Amino acid sequence: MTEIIDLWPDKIKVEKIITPFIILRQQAALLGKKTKNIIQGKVYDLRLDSDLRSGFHYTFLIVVPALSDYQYKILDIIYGMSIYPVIINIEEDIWKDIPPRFYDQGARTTTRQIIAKSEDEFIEILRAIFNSTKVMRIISVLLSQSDPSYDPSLKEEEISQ
Amino acid sequence: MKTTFLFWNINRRPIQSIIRKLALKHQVDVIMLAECEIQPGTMLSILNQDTNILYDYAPDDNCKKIDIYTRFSSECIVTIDDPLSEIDRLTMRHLKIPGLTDILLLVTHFVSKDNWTDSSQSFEWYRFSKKIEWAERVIGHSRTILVGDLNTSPFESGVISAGGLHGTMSRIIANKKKRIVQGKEYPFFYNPMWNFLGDFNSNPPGTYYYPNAEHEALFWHVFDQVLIRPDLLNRFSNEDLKILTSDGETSFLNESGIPDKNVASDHLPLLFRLDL
Repeated sequence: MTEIIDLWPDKIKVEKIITPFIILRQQAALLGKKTKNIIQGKVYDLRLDSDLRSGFHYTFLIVVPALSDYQYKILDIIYGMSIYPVIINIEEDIWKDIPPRFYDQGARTTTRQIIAKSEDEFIEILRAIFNSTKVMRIISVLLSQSDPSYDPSLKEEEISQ
Repeated sequence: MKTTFLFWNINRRPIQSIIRKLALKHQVDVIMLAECEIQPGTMLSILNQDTNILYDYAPDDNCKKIDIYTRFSSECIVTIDDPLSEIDRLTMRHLKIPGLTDILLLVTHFVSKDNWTDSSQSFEWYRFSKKIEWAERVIGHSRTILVGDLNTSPFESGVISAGGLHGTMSRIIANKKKRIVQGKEYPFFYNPMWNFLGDFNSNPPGTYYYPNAEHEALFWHVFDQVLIRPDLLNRFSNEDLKILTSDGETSFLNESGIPDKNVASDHLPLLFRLDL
């Protein structure tokens, strides 16, 4: 047989999926908007540094270019080709701020891991993390350090989309 | 749409509001500041007030004398480091904006005549020129623009000599790309700042005023300059280069037409555009 037979469908149908990585990237961009780019969110691919042979592993960092690119890791996520469930790893202090109802939804209370079984759960958990006392404290400290004139009331400004 | 650049030696003045007005008025894409003591967080806070197009701070840890803010992501303005060289008055950036032609952007605040003689400045310009050529070899092209407070006039040895910047006043000469002197090739820069010497047109006679008390006194100096390699000249129009004297509301000049350092700075800003 000399001819190559194309076994793929004529049109490869692409389903639009908003992956956890995309959600994190969106939140990273929004953090910059809310803090006038003084503090930025960055999402990095950790697969090369991890034991994962397949699947996806990303970390979400807070970065402050004005402080020589100071970085603080907020969370990292791991998921496979099925997307959900997503494993979310967070530090002890942030994990303490996550409402217990997330633990009831399959969380492993003996570790600093939380499992999100769906996109809705993932978004709810992210919201809890980003609104946690620890994360807000980190952002306040970094903003105060970067801009002595920073007015906290400006955080209430609506950024028009 | 052209990419807009602003360079200003702000003389350690807290004029972030004026910089913001200039940035908004001229839709500046890349702001380059020398003698800037404004905290980056403070500058970002005011630049990014009431706007959806945010500026990013793009520092160079090896060159603290220049601060750069850009409306592009800071990832588009990558620092080129020469580990073998310790020139801390020059920041070299590979400006790579998606969809646009990439360039080598060099920004400097050169050593001052207060501390160095003209001869010493010339020798230092030789070092600079070697570093520029190194960066061009690393990047693989010579679409280079050098901007900054050169603390040297366009007609002085360090700027015109082949071993220095080799900056010529003529596009036709610059477009010859290089000149051979004593068997060695030296690439040209085009220096449009020659057009700003004196008061023949409506521009101020220079960018910096210093009335020294010696017999020889120029009074006005064109220390703040933009020099362009011939490979980038087709993307630069002289009409797109200006010395700014106002932010639209506040004049940077006093009643005698001299830079008012109590209002803005003792230097005037340069604005230029490139069609990338």
